[in-house]
Amino acid sequence: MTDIRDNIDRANQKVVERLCAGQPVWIGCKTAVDVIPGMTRHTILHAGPPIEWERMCQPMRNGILGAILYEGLASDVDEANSLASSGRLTLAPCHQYGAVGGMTGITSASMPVHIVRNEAFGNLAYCVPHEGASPTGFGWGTYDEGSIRHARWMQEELGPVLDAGLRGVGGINMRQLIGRAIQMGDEDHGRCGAATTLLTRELAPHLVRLDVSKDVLGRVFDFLLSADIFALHVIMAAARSMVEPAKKIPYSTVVTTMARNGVEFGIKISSLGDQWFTGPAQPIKTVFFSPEWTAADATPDIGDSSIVETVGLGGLIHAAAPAQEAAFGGTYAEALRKTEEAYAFCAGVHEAWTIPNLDFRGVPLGIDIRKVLKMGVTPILDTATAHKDGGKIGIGEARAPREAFEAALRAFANSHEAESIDA
Amino acid sequence: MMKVAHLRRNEYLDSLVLMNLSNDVSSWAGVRQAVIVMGTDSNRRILDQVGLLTGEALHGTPRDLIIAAELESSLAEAEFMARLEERMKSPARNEPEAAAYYQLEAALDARPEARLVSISLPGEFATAPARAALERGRHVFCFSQHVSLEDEIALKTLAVERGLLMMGPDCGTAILDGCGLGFANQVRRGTIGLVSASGSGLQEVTTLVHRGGGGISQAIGVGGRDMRDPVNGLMAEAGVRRLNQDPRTRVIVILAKSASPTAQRRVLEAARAGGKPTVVDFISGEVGDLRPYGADSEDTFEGCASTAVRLAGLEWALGNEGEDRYVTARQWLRRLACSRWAVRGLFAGGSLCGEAAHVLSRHGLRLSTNLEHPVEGRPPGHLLLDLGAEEYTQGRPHPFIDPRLRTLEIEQAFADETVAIVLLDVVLGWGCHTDPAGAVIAALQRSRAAHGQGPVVVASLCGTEEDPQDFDRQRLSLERAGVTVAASNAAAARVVAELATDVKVNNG
Amino acid sequence: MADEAHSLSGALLLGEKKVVVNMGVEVFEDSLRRQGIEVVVVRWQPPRELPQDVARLLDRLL
Repeated sequence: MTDIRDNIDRANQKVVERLCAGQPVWIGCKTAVDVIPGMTRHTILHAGPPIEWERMCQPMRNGILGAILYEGLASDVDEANSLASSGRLTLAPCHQYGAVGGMTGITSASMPVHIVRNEAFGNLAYCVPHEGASPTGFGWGTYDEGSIRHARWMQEELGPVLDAGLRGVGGINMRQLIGRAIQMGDEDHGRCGAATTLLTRELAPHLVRLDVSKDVLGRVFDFLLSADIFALHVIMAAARSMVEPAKKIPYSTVVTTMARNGVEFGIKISSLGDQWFTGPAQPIKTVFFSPEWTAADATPDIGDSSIVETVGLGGLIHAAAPAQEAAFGGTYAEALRKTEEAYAFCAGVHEAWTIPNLDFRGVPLGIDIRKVLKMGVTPILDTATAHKDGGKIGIGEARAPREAFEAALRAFANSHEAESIDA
Repeated sequence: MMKVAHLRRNEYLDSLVLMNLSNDVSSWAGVRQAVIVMGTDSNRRILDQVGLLTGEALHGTPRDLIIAAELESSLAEAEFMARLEERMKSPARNEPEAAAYYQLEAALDARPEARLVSISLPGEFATAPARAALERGRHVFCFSQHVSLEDEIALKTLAVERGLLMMGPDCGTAILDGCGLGFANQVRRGTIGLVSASGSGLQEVTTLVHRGGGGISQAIGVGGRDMRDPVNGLMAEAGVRRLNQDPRTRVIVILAKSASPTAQRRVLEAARAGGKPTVVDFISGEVGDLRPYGADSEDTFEGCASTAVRLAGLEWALGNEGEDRYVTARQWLRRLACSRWAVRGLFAGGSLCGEAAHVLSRHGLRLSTNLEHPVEGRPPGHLLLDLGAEEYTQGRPHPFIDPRLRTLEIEQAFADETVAIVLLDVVLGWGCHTDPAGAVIAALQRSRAAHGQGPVVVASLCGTEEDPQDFDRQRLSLERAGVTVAASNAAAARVVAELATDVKVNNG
Repeated sequence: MADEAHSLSGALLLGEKKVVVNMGVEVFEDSLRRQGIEVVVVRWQPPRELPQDVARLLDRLL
């Protein structure tokens, strides 16, 4: 009888292989209700594990109110509130629908969504585009006129133009692009400047050839250039598409999802499919944009963007992006230490995403919950901070809660009780 | 006067860094006292004793850092904490901090050219990294104590299987390829190899070899328990075999502390198989018959060193001390009150304490020590204490590094009206205090200020002119402070034996 | 193996380049560096406390 440890190690290697084999390609940008299976006019998706309206944090509620108004499902905030708490809407995690969403992650029927196909396995993933440089928007938890107007602009101009451009370029291979961006100093979460530049460069020749007015094009280009962070939501969709085929490998203890809703932090592990294991969402160690804000003003960790750490990017690879560490007053030595930690709790490395500073070592891939618990450290996520009433107020770093990993390990052990797990 | 207490959860600094930090901070203007320690039970007791176990400090666990201080009214808490933050952020290093690893395996994989791992973690955590290192083909130097016997045997067995050295646990000293590990001295490279179960013994022999004109090929420490049952010389034998094969080594010295008969046989047989001239010191243990093995037996470290140097074909360069050097000490003794007659030995090196006890006994003195069992209070009569013994080092750095305990004991010896002679070992070398003589002299000055002239002080200085502490300056400052400095620990003990007999004669 | 024989002879216990890994008290790092040895530092921290059942599971599963 083989030792269960051998089974686990083999399964984890298989998950790493599946993740590595992923070929995410950004193929389009279309209306959510048209492309997301199961999406309806009365569905609003949010970031993180499932959570009822009553328990949601204020920014998430605000984003939902904004989406309700934007979709015309209610004519004012009071009506929107009643509708949201009535149970007549389907409020569900983006993850449940093959999607991911940044910060509050609010995704509704009329919104454009990036579409990424994992060419190696044929599955699709979706993500609403990043709202840009403004500190307001549904993602940040505001529902003012400006936020709604901006959402309409994304629907009417940004989405269709990007879609047409992608048709022209024939899709953009995100596996390759992410690899190049890492070599240019991005960790592809907090720092996406290289990735956004590469994306814009690939799209540009096709965008300018579109049969679209210069004004519209101008606004699209202004938008693309206004925030380094644009690429993040494409990268998130790419990561989402990579993890799906890596799910449901029996015996594997590798993490396939990490996601937060501002109240809870949820993870999934490959062997246990789509079962969520949660712990409390953690406070974010924040660099505030203004001295008027302090930790007392902040929402805890929120967003599906931790899907990028799940595939070996972001907080796991500061050694590739020392500038990210410096943003928090850290040193290169600290960046190295954190990355070394990540290698220690991962099952393998990515063969194509390599870090020049580490002699082109592949990024750490396949977070193993056993090692996380044994080492007593949890993954670090690079993230942004929202005000507890909505709005972006800083950038920061947060750790995943160990409770989620403990819960997952217990469930794993329970499901393998027959393997005589006892000391 | 205000007491502050802060808790930093899950923040760790090692005990030596904390000692330096506490000392530093305690010397700041406006700080009455400061204690910055991990929240272990013994540290919390210390905090309680000095009245600083208050506020947040009460909730500290061994994984948390406790910052406790008493501030004068001139220093505000906020200012104190801000300054402390700064101090804790910038260690007193000039070079940028080298990248560190979190995991030993990662470090070993990244650096295949690193052939030795030095482990000085709390004992319960030392076994796993030691095993990981051996499994990856590296030698291990294990300073950590309180590793289980079971683990020690398993690790040494693994090491022997792989042809590797497992030096320790509880190994304080080694000198490999001319480099000192742990508490070790800077000595000349040469043809004399050592295998030692005693740290301070290794230091004494290697420094005397150097000062006597010889040099060291390799000095392999094996840990304090190696020669005892049930380990029975497992690593000592491997060490001897290694020296047998080392072309540089022409003479082998074995310091066989507490060697069981089995261990004695093993190392002696191994040495005989190698055919190199061998000197053995059983360090006041029971000596078997060495004739079948053709080895020389010595009962002092000084004897080992001089015999080894001669066996290596060199002339022993250290002369014997003349009588005249102790005239001052004798005069001092005569001026003492008649109540004072006893010897008090206060040692940082355990084996040096043992050697001194052996020499004094051989001169007919009846004495007690804490070498077998802890001593309750300070019994009357000749008393030799190893201050590095377990009962003194719980939650506290070794006396080689932290002189405070010995300072207290020196003061106590002066206050004790029966003590006539104080015997000390002053040990230099890597890892040791930057100014061991200075610490002793400060203690003597304070004691004399409080209790007058006090006992005669005799010391040995274990070190070489190449050690970081400036050997000559250390000796000079001791002599200027009225300390009689002997050429070796054994010589110091002989001097004390003579002086003690003098006192007896004087007091009738 | 030639390497092992060489090291068995005691000639190169610390290796050709004299690189030592230090895991534990920082004062030893200093001593080693001052002797011209390159020190590779492993920063050890006391392990976090785990719930008993999780600790037992890890013994079995990892």
